[in-house]
Amino acid sequence: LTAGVSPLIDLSLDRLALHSPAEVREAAKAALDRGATHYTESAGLRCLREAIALRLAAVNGIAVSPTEEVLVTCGTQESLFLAVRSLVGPGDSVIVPGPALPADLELIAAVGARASVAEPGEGLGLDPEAVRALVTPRARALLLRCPSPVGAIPDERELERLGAIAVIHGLTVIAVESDEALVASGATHRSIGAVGGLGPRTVTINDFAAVGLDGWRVGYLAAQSRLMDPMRRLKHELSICSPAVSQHAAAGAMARLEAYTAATRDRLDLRRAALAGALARAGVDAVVPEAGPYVMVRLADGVAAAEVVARARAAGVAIADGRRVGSPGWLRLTLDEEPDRLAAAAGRLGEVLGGPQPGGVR
Amino acid sequence: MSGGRDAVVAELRERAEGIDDLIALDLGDPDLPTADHVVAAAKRAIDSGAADLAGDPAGLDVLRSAVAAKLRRENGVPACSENVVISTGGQEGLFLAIHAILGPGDEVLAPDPRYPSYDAAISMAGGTIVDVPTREQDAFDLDPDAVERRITSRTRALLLVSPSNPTAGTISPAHVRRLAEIARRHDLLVVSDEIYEKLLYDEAEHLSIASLPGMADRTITVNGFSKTYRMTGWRVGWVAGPVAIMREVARLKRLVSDSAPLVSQYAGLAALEGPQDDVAGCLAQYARRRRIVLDSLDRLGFGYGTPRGGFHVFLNATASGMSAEDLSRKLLAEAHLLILPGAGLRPQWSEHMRLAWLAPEATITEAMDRLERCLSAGAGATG
Repeated sequence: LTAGVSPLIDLSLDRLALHSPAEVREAAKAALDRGATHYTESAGLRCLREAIALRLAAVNGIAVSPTEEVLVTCGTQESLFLAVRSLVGPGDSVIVPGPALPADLELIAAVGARASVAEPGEGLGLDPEAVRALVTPRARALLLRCPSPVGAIPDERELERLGAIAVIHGLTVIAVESDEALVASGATHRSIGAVGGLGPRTVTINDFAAVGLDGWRVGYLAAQSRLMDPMRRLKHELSICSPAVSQHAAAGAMARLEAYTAATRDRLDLRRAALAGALARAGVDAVVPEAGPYVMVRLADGVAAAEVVARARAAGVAIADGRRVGSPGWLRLTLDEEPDRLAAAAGRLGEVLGGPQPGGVR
Repeated sequence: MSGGRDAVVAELRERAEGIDDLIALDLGDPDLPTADHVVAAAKRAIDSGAADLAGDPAGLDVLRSAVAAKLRRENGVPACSENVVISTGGQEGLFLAIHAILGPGDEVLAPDPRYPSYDAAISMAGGTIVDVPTREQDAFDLDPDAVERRITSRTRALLLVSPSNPTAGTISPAHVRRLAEIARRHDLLVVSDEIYEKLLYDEAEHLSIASLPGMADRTITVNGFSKTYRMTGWRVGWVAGPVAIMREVARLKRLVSDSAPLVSQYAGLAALEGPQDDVAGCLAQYARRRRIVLDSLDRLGFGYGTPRGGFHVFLNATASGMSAEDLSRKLLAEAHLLILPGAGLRPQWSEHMRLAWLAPEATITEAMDRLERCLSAGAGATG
């Protein structure tokens, strides 16, 4: 492992480096030529909200009014801030199914609320009973990333069970579905807002990062008016409206959104399969999720993630500590390389993990 | 944030919607487009793919450096890129600055009248606002003595807005110097909103308080591209201040909305580093429109605090014999003019209206003709 080492294979990125389609760029530039350099309506361009409402109904099974129940935002982080700041107060508890993103916990703490993280189930999956066990009289909301930060997606029964818990205990559900487009072929994304009885208590959050518009900072949230009104007011006080040029790009993407995301999904399918196969051949204990940009590798008891990350880097593979996605004792591998390089990375990682253990012979 | 304020604005806007020949002088959104070279830079960022990938929540390094250089060069404020965080517009910048420094029970001295978003940000941060009145006869300058009289043991910060929205008043350099001295003496932080700094009329001068001795360590300056460079729709601005506070601003930025849009950050960079002559050209147009508006108000006998900055006038409607709210309704119904009453900002400003001259000169002339005709017809009828 010296002379033959090719340049660093980087599987440590937090996000996929996805670029916007040419037609979307043209739509944005054409809008600039038409003078789209002014404020828009605070809630967002009407044509964009209409397209979003249509998609929510057709794809997600969520019926909303485009004029009253859709809010265009500066991306998922702003959506999440609006929801948490408006719907959760000091002293409230927010239940977060684990693994939980550290930034989500930081946001909950920043509004004076307490995050209760439910233990994940087997293989970092969702465990509704662990969520139920955390319900207290202070529990106000459930922050559900679906797909989860490590790409797990609840099945229909688990989602209905979660929905029932929310209804019985009066929880508001803040559902972040921005990785919806990264669900593997053959797996099914379901929106909790479409589960019976959940419509009136759910905020559904999504964005356009999967079509290469992450840096454009544009996303949306949908909710019925009781939940929407305070979020809408806060949006206006905070950022007035979302960037006009980005909204026009998003509107340009809507017409062919499913085609663009299908291309991303197909590419990720190939990468996921390549990495999973190579990790298995290398004898690495991995969880290959049904969605998302990562594959998670389980560390043996007592093995420090930081040390493995450093040794992997020395061996030409950059990976991240699973703590970045709330998973201590795990490594996070991002599917941001092509299949051949992912396979090569798996081989190198296998040698690192199978090689001398910490404290062993050096 | 009052329902009353929202209600009157909403009512007027709703009534205005169906009017074909409406002239709207209500919004703070420049009618002139963003400069061509700025739009061209944005298009280059789009074509290169640089706009696609989200970056550092605190903003692009090149833009933070360019803002720091601008602060040193134009404002005399010592700054490097670590002192700057790029925000998603000036209003978010203000929200971040306020939340970075205020704790529950802290008092903020704030000039009155002011744009209501300051109140929203301060109350959300758990702070308390203490009004410092500014007066029409002083052209809404801020009186340092009036500030100092209101300082208590709980006063944490002083908010300065110069030029001001909605009053268009500026704080004279002499007053800025005295305010700095007061801030130092009472160990106060200063939040200085300077978004209209380049839009000045007559002999008005802008002095950044952070440039004064000992003030860079206690001042957070909020600014943006929207007003100077006619970039309201791009949502990009900045916050600048001491490194320790800016670390908290950057943390909050990451939690509130992550990075500002990249396409807009590249556009902002081009605005800062490109030719500045169109800013002067635009200001010359505003100055002509302002003259038309003020001459007309003089003929009508309307009072106002002489607008020294910005692109609006806070006029006193008392001479019409009506409340500003009633006059707004009358002007909309009879003259098809949309001008918001001060009560739309805060209830106690029931005599005032904010008129923004953000329409071509011919339209402004037409608007003022309509205003004068409408009021003289009213005067004739009542005898």
